[in-house]
Amino acid sequence: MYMDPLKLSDEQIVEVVRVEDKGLYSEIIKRYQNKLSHYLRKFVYNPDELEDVLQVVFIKTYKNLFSFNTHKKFSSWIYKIAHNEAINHIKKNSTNHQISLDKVEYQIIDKNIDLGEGFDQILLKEQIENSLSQLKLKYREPLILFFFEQKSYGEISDILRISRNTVGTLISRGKKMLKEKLIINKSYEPKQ
Amino acid sequence: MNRSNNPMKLEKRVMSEIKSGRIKLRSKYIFWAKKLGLNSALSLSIVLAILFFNLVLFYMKSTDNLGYLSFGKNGLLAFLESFPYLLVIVFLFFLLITGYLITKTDWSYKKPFKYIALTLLIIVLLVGSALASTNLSQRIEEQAFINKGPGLFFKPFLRSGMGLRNSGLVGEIDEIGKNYLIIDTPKGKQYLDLSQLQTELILSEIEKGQLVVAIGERKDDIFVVNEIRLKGGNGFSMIRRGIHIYPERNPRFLHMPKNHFFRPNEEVKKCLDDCIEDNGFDQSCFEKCRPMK
Repeated sequence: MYMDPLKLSDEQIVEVVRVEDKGLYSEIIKRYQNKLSHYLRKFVYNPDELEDVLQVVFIKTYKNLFSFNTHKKFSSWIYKIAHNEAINHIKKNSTNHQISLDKVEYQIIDKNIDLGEGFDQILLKEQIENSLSQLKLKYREPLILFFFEQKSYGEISDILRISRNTVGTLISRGKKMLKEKLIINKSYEPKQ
Repeated sequence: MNRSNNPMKLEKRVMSEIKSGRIKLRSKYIFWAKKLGLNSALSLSIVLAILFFNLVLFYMKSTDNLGYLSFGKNGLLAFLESFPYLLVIVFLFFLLITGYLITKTDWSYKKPFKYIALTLLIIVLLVGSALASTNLSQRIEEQAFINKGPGLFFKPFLRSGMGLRNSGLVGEIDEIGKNYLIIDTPKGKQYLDLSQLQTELILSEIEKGQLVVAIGERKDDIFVVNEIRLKGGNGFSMIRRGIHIYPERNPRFLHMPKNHFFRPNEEVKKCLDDCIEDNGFDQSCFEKCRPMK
């Protein structure tokens, strides 16, 4: 019986891949390749390494499909695998790089952190990238998932396996810390 | 080549690995077995944490351990000496293992660890305390000291309950002499020198068969008593069983450490009595009358 993959939910695709059609896994790759690449870019800065990590994520996801509970949300599960791989990558490559944001992302931060007047908009993107890179991973992860991946508190809670309240606390503290770092970085900025 | 600019290539690469069979789905049975193993290990560690907590309570209640605290700060040394360190360490070990395993299962999914840890602790303490009112621990103790049944496994943890102390002693009065007592302990007869007693003990008021708890200092065969009290009621039940029941039911129970206790026969007792009569209560009498020497 022909099934239109576009009409199937992620969870339904997983069920089909597990018992009938392994080829349908390509639909999962299509659906998540860009999203996960976008997410992982905040942790893996080298494009070649990024693709290697992404490949590992898809392979691990496929191998472990039977461990996924189809009554839960697949996207949270695959993000969790990506998150674990990102952490492994950071542990292996401890060198501190700087996050690179696109225009929309830095505007989201600018809008949500409410920095007030006095920030040079041209320098702001660089400052946000710099400050976000300095933030502890514990705060950086939920901020990235919330602002850039548009995940809800519930989904972040699923991905990071922490309670919703903790997600809220970490995001709130992360925002505050980011704002403080931005203000400090600004005060050290050389005057032209 | 910047590979990330070519999303089709990644998809093809992964799918070709899957289709060629080089990458396979892990069997669902592996995940079931893993889940079953994890849950079994978790259940076992919870049960053992409860059991060991129950044994800690039982040990403190039925041995001499808490009895020394009735002497106030003077009994602290004997209390610390008789404390069930091994039981407490093993209990804490299983508690930690349980906490660790819980974080690996779905039980703790998205719940704050401090609440899970607190709930776990309350459950273990409550169930452990409830078990203490049953005879489970006593049965374990009996199996351990009679060398029969699964309780034998717990012998290393309970053995110190009837062990030798250098600063405290509990036993049943066997003989009352001038300035000395001979008491029965789970390890055999013990001679108590009362000449250094800091509080008055009216010898006419004490009787054979009464239980005494004493603090002081061991000097080879003699225990020099600083303070001594009579203990009525049902306390020190493990010690009582160690004196009356286990030596009869287990011939190897009274295996005594060298140079501390001996069970005098009539000949030895006469020798000791004569020596004490002539020289006072002294270590030299034990050297002289010790049967193995």
